[in-house]
Amino acid sequence: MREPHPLLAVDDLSIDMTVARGTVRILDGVSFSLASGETLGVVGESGSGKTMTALAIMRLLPQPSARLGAESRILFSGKNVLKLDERAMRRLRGREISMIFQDPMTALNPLFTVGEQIAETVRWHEGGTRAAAQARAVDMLRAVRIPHPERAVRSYPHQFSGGMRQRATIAIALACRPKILIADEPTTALDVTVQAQIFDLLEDIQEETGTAIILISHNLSTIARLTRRIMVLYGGRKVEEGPTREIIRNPRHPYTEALLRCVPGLRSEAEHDAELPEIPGTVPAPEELGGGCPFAPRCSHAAARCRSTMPPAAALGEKHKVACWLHEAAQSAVT
Amino acid sequence: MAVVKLVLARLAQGVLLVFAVVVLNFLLIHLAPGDPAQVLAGEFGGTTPQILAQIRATYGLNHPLWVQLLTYIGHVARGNLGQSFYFNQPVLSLILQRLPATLLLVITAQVSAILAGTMLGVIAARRPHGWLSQGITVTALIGYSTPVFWLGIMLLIAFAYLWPIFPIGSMETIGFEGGIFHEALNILHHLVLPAFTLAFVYLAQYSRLSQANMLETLGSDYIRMARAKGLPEWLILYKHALRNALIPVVTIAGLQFSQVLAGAILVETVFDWPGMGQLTYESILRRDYPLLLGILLISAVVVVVVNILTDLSYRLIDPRIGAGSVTGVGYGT
Ligand SMILES: Nc1ncnc2c1ncn2[C@@H]1O[C@H](COP(=O)(O)OP(=O)(O)OP(=O)(O)O)[C@@H](O)[C@H]1O
Ligand code: SF4
Ligand SMILES: [Mg+2]
Repeated sequence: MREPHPLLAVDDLSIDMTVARGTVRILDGVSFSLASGETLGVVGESGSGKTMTALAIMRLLPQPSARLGAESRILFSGKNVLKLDERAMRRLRGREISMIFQDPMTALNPLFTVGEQIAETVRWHEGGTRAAAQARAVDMLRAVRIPHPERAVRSYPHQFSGGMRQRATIAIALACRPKILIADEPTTALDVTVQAQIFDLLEDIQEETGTAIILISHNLSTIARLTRRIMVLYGGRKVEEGPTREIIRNPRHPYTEALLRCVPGLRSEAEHDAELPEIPGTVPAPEELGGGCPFAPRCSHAAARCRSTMPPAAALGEKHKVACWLHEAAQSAVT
Repeated sequence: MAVVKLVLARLAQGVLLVFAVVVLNFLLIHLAPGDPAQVLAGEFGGTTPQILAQIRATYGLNHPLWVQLLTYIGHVARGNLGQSFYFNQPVLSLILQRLPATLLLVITAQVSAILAGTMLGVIAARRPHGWLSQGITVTALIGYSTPVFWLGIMLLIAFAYLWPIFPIGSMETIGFEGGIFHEALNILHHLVLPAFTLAFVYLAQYSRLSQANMLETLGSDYIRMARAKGLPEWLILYKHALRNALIPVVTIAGLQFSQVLAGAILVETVFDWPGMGQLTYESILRRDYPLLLGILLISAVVVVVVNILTDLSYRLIDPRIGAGSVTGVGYGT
């Protein structure tokens, strides 16, 4: 809208996954965009499709079981990355778009020093001497606030604690100054105090470098602090999207509401690291979904129409969108 | 520093093991029914009273058992492993003459099995259900169940007789003259069939092992991370995955070394390879006890040395083991 192209535009992303019982659609028509320097939160219960969305952007979906829908487009600076050949895609990964994963204990190769794992990325993407890459590694370790970076650069992952390792993966991910960092539940595996430190770090990095961040979590409260905008996924569909403040104050989708109800104190801005909220029932398996609203089996407002017909996305105000029949009145075809 | 400490510790263990073998050897001779002198002389006919007296003197058989043990240990410590009656030579020099040939055979077989096996495993790991992968599984099965000597004989018939591209046995062409280079080539030519025979069983085993390890490694988080970094597939495969997949291979290789050494006995006999294996075969056939016991002892020493080398290479590959974690930098949060 404001720019000719947003930095990233995911358009009608669908993923079919081949499983033992056949093919299931694990992601269905998800669209969103990300502007330069923005932080977008992606929330949803386990299995809602957050990781698959991220992997689709990286083009690292499990092969050959995952297949993208024909209409799917992922535009990076206006170019469809799904059309790139593997070589061109590799130049994007780690250099323009980076990703860090949930479990820092296993994300680093145990046999190479932390410095080497940063430096190899730099050398591969930018060339230059070994010494220059090593120097960049030290800088990066300093940037993610690892003490004694000159020494740490020669350490092996097993000499680092979980929090340090996640800092190290962040250092790797940011080494080539990417425009986008996708952080897939970067703190789920860490202690509560360490979680807060990592979030502080991400916040600072964002301020300093202007890297756009997609922050994935199943915990609304952690996301609320760091993001300006939130997208809520449920059962492979985007059910609500809007400015973080608005969604926290005034959630419109029954699922988002339920998510928030289970995190007491959030609205009063208190810090909370409550676990996954308990909403009655469970996420339906993708193959159990009929044509209707994926949340219908657990929704207290569910009506007959909800079970038979998918609610379209409705715009509530300029930036707030919700896919729920309760807000049909506000309907004005949007995606 | 830590490495030196490790080697010393392993050496101490090794010395202990070798010592145990020495004592066991001693007990074998002395607890066996009958006259130890007779046992030592072997059943190599024509044992004269003089020979028996000579044996009694060297082994101090007239003294109490513990004195005899000490005497025996003293002899062994000074490298005196006795006299082979069949070959009529000191046991130690006999073994040392044969050891290089065996080491050449065993190390060639082991190294080529590891290299080729790992390479096949890596290639097969890229297509877990492809024909290569299945072929390796079948070959591994055949390898397990094929008697080594039978395979050796079949290879001899095929490649030394029906299609004679390799010599039929021995280590060098008799009366062969030439420069060092040609001589080496000649030995290499003789080495192919026996080394392949010995390597075959392990080749398939290593490829299966490394294929399984590669598959597991390729599914790990740090490989996904390496992909997310934009590294090319070959770098991921040969730098990040292979090295991790090699760790169990090294472990197994170390454990299997003594088996390979045992396998060499048969292979050397089939191919007339002038090594320790053949010597072992002879010593058993001729009931040449001093020689047999000496071979046991030297084999134990070889196994100990190989285990130390395995341990060291293990540490070279994997920084998590030993040295690093003890003296490395520790970090808090
Ligand atoms: N390798 C796979 N094979 C088949 N189905 C898969 C595979 N990985 C994930 N899925 C399915 O894809 C759907 C989305 O999974 P995804 O990992 O994206 O969820 P998520 O939102 O990241 O959950 P979590 O919070 O547990 O990480 C789930 O229904 C899951 O069962
Ligand atoms: S569409 Fe119906 S079932 Fe779905 S969330 Fe809205 S009210 Fe509930
Ligand atoms: Mg996930």
